[in-house]
Amino acid sequence: MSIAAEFQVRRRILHPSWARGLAGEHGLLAGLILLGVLVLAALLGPVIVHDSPTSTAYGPFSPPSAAHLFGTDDVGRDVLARVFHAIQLDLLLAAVICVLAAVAGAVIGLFSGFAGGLVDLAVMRLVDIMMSIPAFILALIIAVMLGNTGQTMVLAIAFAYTPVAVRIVRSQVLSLRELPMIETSRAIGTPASRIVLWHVLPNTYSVLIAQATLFLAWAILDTAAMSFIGVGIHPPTPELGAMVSEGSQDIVSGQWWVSIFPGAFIAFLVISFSLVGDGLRDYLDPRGQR
Amino acid sequence: MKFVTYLAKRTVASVFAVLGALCLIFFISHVLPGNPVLSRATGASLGTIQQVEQQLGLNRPIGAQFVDYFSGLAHGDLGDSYVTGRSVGSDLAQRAPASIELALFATLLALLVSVPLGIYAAVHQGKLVDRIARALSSLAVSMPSFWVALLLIYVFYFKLSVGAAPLGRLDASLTPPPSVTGLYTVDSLIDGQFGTFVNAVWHLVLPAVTLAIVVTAPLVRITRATMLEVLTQPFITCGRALGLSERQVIFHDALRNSLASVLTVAGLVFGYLVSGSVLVEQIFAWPGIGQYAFSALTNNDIQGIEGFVLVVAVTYVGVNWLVDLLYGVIDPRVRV
Repeated sequence: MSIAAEFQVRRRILHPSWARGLAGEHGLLAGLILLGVLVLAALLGPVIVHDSPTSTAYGPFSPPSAAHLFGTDDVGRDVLARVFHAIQLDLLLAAVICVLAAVAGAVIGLFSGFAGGLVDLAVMRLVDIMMSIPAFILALIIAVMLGNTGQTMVLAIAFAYTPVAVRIVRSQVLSLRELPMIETSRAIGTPASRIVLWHVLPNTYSVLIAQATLFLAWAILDTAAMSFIGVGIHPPTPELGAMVSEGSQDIVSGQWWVSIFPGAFIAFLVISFSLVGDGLRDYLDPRGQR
Repeated sequence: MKFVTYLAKRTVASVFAVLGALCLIFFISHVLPGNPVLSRATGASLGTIQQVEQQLGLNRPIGAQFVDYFSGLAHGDLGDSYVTGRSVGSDLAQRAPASIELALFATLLALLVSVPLGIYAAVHQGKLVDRIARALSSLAVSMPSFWVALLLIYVFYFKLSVGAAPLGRLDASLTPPPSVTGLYTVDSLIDGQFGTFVNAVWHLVLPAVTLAIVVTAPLVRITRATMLEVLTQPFITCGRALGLSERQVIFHDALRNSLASVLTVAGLVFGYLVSGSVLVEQIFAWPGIGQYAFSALTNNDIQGIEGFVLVVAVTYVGVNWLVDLLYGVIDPRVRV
C-alpha cells in the first residue's frame, strides 16, 4: 500500500463522511433500515402486544386473525408474541457469538501475524484444519459433546467462526507491518506492544467490523439451524429456529403459520446483517471498490 | 513447477488436512469435558458408569485411546455405535449414495440456473437485470434451508398436490432398483424400470430445489465476478475488433476462461451439500448420511457423530483436491 493509500484509509476511518458515503451505498442503507425496524420490533413488540409468549390460553391452531396476527400454535400460544421474544433472544445470542469470535480472532491474529515464524506457521495450520470441517458441523459436534445447552452452543459457534477472523486480522497485520509508519515508529523506539495496540490494531478495525457483521448474519442462521434440530435452545423457550421446528410437523396438514412466520424473521435478520456487512466492507475498503 | 510436483504437493497437503481434522475430532470427542456415558445415563450410579466406561475402554489413558482410534481407522474401522451396536462404517457407506444423489442433483440444478444468470448479469452490468440478479441471490443465501424446505412442502405438496410426499426416495409401494451405483435414478435406468426412474426424480425435486436455492448465490456471484474480469481482458477487445460475434466472444472466449473459478466454487458447493444437508434430509426423511447424523445427535451416539464428521472432512478435502486437479487440466497455466 502506498503512503497515499494509507492516508486514504486512515482518513476514512478517522473522519468518515457518513452522509456522503451512506447515500452511495444503497445496500448498506437498506440493511440498516431493515435492522432498525427489526430491533424496534423486538424491543417495542412485547410492549404493544400484551399476549404472553408462554401462555397456552389462546386455543390451538387458530389461523392468523385480528386478535392473533400470526395465529396460534399447536398448544395455543400466540405466535406473534413468541416471535418478538425470539428475535430478542436470537439477536442477543448472535451478538455474544460475534463478539467472542471477533475478539478471539483479533487477539490470535494479531499475535500470530506479529510474531511470525514458527508460531505463525502453527497457528495457520490449526486454522486450516479447523476450516477443513464446515463451520456448522464443527460447531454442532462441539456443542453436543459439551452438553447441548444454550451456553455450549454459543461457545461452539464462536469457536467455529474464530479461524475466519484470525485469517482476516493476520493478513491485515502482515500488510500493515511493512508500512512506513510502522517502520518509523519502530525507528524512534516505540515499544512493540504499543505499536501493536496503537498502530496496527486500529487499522484492522474496518475489515474486522465488516466481517463481524457477517458473523452476526451467520450466527442468526446457525443458532436457528441448531435449535431446529434440537441442539442449543430447547422449547418452550421462544427461539426462531426452535419455533420453525415445533411447527414443522403440522405443515403437511396445512397449519403453515406456526413455522413460516418465525422462519421469515430469520431470513429478515440475516438479510439485514448481510446487507450491512457487505456494504460496510465496500465502504470501508477503498481498494476493494467494484 | 511441473504438474506432477503440483499434484504431489496438493495430495500431501490434503492428506495432512484430513489427518489434522481427525486429530481435532478425537480431541473434541475424547478430551473435552463432555462424558458420553454420563450424558446418556442420567441417574445411573457412579459404579455403573465406571463399569460401562471400562467396557467401552473410555477409562484408559488418552494416549492409548488415541492409538486405538487411529489403528482402527487405518483398518477402515470407524468403530461400532454405542447406541445401536452396529458398525458405523457400514451404516454410513450404505447411506452415502442417497446423499450423493441429492447433492449431485442440487448442484446441477444450481449450476443450470446460476451460470446463465451470472453471465447475463455480467454482460448487462449495472442494469436492472444485474441488480435483480444480485438482489435475488442475496435473498436466496439469507433464507434458512429448513424453512425453504417447509415452504416448498406446504406449497407444492399440501396446496398444489404436485410434489412428492416428503417421505424418502421412492413411494412406499415401489421397491428400490437393484443396486449398481446406489443412485436410484441411475440404477432404475440401468434396470430399465422407467416408472421407478420417474418416481425417484419426482422425490428428488423438492429437496434438490431446496438445496439448490441455498447454494445459488455463491455460484451467481462467482460467475458474474469472473466474467466481468475476463471481459475486460485485451483478448476480448481483440476478438471484438476482429469482428467476432458477441455470442462467440461471450460464450466461446469469456465463458471458457471463467469456467475454472466457477468449477472451484461448484466443487466447494458439492462438498458442502454432501455433508451439509443434515437439516434438509431430516425434513424430507431422506435416508442419507445427514439423517444418520441427526439420529446420532439426538441419541448422543458419539461414535456415530465421529464417523459422520470424518466423512464430512474427507469429502470436503477430497472434493477440493479433485477440483485442484481439474483446475490443472482446464487451465494449462497451472501446469507450467
